[in-house]
Amino acid sequence: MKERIAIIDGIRTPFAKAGTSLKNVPAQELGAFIFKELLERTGFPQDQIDELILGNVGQPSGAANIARVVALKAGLDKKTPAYTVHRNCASGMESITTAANKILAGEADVILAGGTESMSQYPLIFGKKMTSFFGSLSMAKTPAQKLGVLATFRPSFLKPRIAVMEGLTDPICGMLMGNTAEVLAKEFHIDRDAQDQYALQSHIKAEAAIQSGKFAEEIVPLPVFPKFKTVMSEDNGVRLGQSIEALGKLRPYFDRVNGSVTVGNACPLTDGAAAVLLMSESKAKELGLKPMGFLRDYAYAGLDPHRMGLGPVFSSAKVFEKSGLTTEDMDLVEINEAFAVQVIANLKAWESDDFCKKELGLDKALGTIDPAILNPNGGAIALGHPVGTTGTRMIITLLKELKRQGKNRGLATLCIGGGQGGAVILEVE
Amino acid sequence: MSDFNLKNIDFLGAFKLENQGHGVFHLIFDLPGEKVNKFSGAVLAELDSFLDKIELMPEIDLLCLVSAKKGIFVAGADINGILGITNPGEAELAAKAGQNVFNKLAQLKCTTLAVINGACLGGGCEYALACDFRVASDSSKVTIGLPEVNLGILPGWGGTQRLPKLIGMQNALGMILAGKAINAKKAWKQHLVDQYFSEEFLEEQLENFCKQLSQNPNFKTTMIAKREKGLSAKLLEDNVIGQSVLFHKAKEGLIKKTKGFYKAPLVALDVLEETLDMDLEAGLAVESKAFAELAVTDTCKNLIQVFFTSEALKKETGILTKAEAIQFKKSAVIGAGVMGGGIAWAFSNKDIPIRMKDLNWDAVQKGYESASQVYSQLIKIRKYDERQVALKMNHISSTLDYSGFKNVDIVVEAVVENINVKKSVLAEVEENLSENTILTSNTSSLSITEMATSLKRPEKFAGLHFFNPVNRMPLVEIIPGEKTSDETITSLVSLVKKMGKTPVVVQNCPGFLVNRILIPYMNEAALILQEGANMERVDELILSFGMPMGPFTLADEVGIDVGYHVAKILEDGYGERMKTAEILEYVAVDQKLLGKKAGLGFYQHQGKEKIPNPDLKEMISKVQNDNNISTTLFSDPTIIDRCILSMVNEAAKCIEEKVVSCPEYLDMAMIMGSGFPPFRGGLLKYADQRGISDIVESLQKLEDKFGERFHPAKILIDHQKASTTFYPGVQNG
Repeated sequence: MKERIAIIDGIRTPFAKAGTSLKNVPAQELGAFIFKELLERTGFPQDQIDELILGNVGQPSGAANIARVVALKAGLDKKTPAYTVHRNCASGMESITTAANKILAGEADVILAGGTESMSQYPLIFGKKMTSFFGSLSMAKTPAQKLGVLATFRPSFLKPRIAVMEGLTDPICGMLMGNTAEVLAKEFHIDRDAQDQYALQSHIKAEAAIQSGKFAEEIVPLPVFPKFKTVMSEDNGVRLGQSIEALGKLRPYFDRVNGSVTVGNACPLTDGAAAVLLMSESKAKELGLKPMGFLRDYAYAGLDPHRMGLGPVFSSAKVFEKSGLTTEDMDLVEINEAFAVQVIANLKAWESDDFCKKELGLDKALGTIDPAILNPNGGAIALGHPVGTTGTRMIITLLKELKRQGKNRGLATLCIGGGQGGAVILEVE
Repeated sequence: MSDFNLKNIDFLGAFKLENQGHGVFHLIFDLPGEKVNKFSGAVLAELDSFLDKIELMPEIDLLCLVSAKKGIFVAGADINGILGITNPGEAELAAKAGQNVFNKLAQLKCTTLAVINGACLGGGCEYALACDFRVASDSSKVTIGLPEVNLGILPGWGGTQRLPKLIGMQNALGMILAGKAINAKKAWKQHLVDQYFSEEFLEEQLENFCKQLSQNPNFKTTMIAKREKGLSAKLLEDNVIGQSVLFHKAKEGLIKKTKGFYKAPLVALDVLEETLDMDLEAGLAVESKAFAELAVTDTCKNLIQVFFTSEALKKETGILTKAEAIQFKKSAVIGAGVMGGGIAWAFSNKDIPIRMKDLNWDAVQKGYESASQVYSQLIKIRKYDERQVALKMNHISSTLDYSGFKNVDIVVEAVVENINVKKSVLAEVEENLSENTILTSNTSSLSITEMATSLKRPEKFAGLHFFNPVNRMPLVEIIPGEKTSDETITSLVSLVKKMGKTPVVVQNCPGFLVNRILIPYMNEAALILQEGANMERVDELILSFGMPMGPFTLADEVGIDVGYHVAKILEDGYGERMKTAEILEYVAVDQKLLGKKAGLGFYQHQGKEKIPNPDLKEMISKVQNDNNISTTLFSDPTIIDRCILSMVNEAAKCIEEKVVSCPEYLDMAMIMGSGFPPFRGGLLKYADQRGISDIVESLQKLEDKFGERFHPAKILIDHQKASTTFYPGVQNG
């Protein structure tokens, strides 16, 4: 990139497992809340904000171009345009990298970016038979015709299509995301116990981060729409006192006979939103602002949808090549924990000469990621993965942790349903 | 004589007749020198002579009544005329004068069409009703109605006769008895107007409508046929049983609503019922008699005065200089309690973003919840839908620190009612604001000047006293401190108006205006109670006077702790004459009763029901024993006078000390802020009407029996001596 992008400030809502505390809060309300609060906290003059770009995967049918809905609800001026981006699980990263492109192209100076997702509110959809039944019914004119149509009704018409299941099923290879994780378990020979151990660590680290108040630095307590009878201030996916025994009791979810991926070693469906304020490094300097950190470079990569979980190693290789940096230059690394097995597979691929040569066209392995610098505060297995939001959340979490540890540079990377990976390199100095 | 006498008039030039070609003429109403069209005697006379002329012009096929005023068709009759009427005969003549002119209009040979382009109220509505056809534009300015009962009278120019025939009895009852105006679309649905046009295409569509009326012989019949009632209305209204059910229901509703204090809607109902089967002439005679009966009542004069005062307050800037009001774009409130939440609602409701600060998230949550609850009520009554409420709630944000405060234009402090706490909070807040931000305190009784001593910018500080519950109480007291600038005051006045509430600027004294007057009254009721009177009797007597609730019910509603706290502040401020009643102290401090919010106060509350607190007798005897008070028997008038005259006397003192700029505003503040009955016109109006001498003598008697606190205010004695009154032109005695 020709110049770093300054991330002035970033905040997020607490994350709630779908169907719990935030189940009645639509994605646009989550987004409106977090962007309004970001505007208040930064006090940045609204008329200098050129655009709002928002990541969102399951776009609510009642909030088409949800970015615009969020912008107006957050109190942005009606003159400020807004649009929504969708790169599946990386949508909250895409909003930031898209903003970076716009800023670097000179098309905008200041952009609000982020992500919002309410996986609780993904709808059930009437199937094809029911839809055409309704269609015929509305076409029928006379009572006799209407009766005729009504007579064709069968209870099976009522079987809904479940949007969240469809969304998590790869339309090309036909596999559920969990089944792509099973593919990696076999390919990299990762057993159930390793996965559960990894998941346990995620919970332990996240619990510690909550206790020490680290997450309180990025979370804004959320008065809960629509009745506002509670304020939610912590992520509720973290199982305090999680144990290996408890994880071990769970049955494999995707491959019930021979599988190893359970709901305990995978991330849960989650609701939440996050927001950042972006501008070029030079603009921040000009305005005398002290950014939370900088986006140094980014890359997205494509791969076989069956193995979408390897997205991080593919995209990281690309961003290293693009930036000239290496694994050794990274003080901290965040790999999104879609599945424990998928993170472990990436670590194995990372240090495998064979894999890196064959799959990435490199002459040797990418290097080794020290477990001590990987996801120091846990990840999506404990915190949850609101698909449109996680990309933004990881960037905020990583920058805050770099600053806390007095370190400078980090890599945040995630796998993307459909067979992609995304990676960003961040710096605080 | 009244203004409605048709003799001896000079032509005002209010009407103009214009030939539009093809037999269509416009009678243009454009009252010179006024922003609105309204009917006075002179205007009616001019109209009358125009109608005479028109009747002699065979070339007119279609006469359109139009208005040259933007947004106004005819706003009504000039109510100043009614204010001057003192005897029923005169009032009846005034009604007949209008009836005759509108009869003449109705009987014109040519076709008549009212073109309603704006407010069409009262006499204006009756003017339109006398036409053969009516059309309206869909402009939001178009409101059509007969609001007369709100002024203590009834439609006296044919409204009670022509409206039911046109739109059916059920719809007519709705409009006449509640005095509520309707918009063009609803008027069309009720067949009050025959057609409505989009404002932007009014001219073209009107031209087309006129062409149809004057050239298409079937058009008239079709339009009239469209007015046919629906089946259910027919079934209900066109048979004797249905009619009696309708009237019976309406009467029940009115008695419940007016508690018998407001005669006008009941009389209007009687007129409608009595004239149901009469011909127009006989019906109009009944109408004008009933009008005359109402127009001379004190209630009517008082309601008209209240109306004038509210109009004056709408224009009030609160200052004598020309300082310009600042427009507030962003706001903040400190303290998310009941008041803070209510204030957050009030700002968000007017689309002003508000940042709510409190010490912890639990407190903040309560503020959100109280605002949200108000919105839920508004969804229930269909004022808003869920989408709109979500947008309003989006305006509220919250914080534990001062983030975002640099960008707000106004801050309202609503923390505990303690001068030291307030001073330190205000000083801290001020540190976090931009230089231009206006800072206010929602104190109910503490000194603004004293609070300002902790501030660096006292000129940007004032009291802004919302009443609880904020969404339902229309009054806001604005209290300048010694150093408050005119710009600050007028900005707050303008803000309060924008919120749809009534601002009254009052001087800085303990309790300001409303609480200063109301607390002695509640305290007096408490004294009466501890002297042995029955609590429910006191409450009932005060209800019978017209207050919306008795003093003990009110104490429970407000919260005994809150009331006691304010009473103590007033006692500190005014000394012996406001000494808090022992029973109040005992109930608030020893028994720690809170009132309705905790289910137990002077009454025991369960849902909407209440019974006297079972321990009340015991508490009273305890207080009597401890303080050597013996039980006394009081007459009803003594109880009422002790309560009400306490207020009158304090109100007089407020005028004396210029706490508020005029008696009219004081009366309005008490009506808006304490629910003092509008039909009495206010405390000082009540004093004037009862007679200042009577007031002074009654106070003196009370002083002899119950102590110096009843010593009449100097201004009362002055008025007595000079035979003058608070309001100009009211006969004393």
